[in-house]
Amino acid sequence: MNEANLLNDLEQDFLVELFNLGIGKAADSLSQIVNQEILLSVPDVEYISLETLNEKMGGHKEICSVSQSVKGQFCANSMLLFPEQSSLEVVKKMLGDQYSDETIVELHQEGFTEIGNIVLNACIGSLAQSFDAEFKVGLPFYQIGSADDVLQAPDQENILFIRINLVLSESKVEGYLIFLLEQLSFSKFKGMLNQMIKGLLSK
Amino acid sequence: MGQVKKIMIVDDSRVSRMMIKSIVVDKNPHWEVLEAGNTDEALKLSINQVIDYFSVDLNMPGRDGLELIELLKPEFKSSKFALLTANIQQATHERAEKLIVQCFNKPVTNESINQMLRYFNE
Repeated sequence: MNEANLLNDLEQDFLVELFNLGIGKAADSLSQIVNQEILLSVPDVEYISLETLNEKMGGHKEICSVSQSVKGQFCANSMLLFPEQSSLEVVKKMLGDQYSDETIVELHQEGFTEIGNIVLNACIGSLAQSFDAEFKVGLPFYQIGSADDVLQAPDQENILFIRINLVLSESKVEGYLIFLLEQLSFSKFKGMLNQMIKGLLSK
Repeated sequence: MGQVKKIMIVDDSRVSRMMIKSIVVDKNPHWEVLEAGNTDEALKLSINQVIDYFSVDLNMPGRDGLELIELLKPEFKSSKFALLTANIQQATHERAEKLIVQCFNKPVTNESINQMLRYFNE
């Protein structure tokens, strides 16, 4: 790992703050979808290997994920992950009581994809505002499988991994919002953070 | 309010179309609803039709919702267009404003769809 690539304390603190705003928007959207409060963890920012990341997420056998690429001044992959059963519960809450369990299962993939689309866009939109930049957001891509299947990052040793736990307060189900920042855009990203921090401190 | 109007809902997510349609029909039981899953389908379906309102998703495979609206506008000069999108970025809203399209933020909720319907009924 190249030490120069790591974020210092101030950069990390600022990044967490930016994501706090973003996930606030994401949680607000999710909360409107499922009609209940969403409890959020403080964003966990780590610079880790893909292997360690898979280990961290390995607790669940089947994970449903929706990912969307983010391209702009830096590139990242954003993902919403819920264990399969929990993702069914989220879709059920979105559709309301009028649908049978069979219909919910049938609509699971499309429903969860749309939820991912909304939640990830809310977060990315807020980040774009903070960075005063425009990001092109790719189409949502749905996957189900083990952590290994779902969490595939481009061929690189280490990734910046930002994880936020989302808990549906009434349904008691938990998911994660993840941003994987690609190695190539990491130095750009660090530069942008520093510029913003400088801007803030000079005011 | 009780008039029969025709609305086209364009969204690649079937679930979103179902949710939008159910709120629209609940408020306006007499309205006719057309559904399309992408821009090409919407263009084909709109031929020789009189459509009063369009509810269009932004992020769709192929040509996006704003491109669709640009293509539809010359044919539907007196129709109203709503862009329903999860993309809350200012740049997107500015692009929509240029086309004189009103943006409504997803998720699909009673509130967001009622806002859109109020805009249609203005």
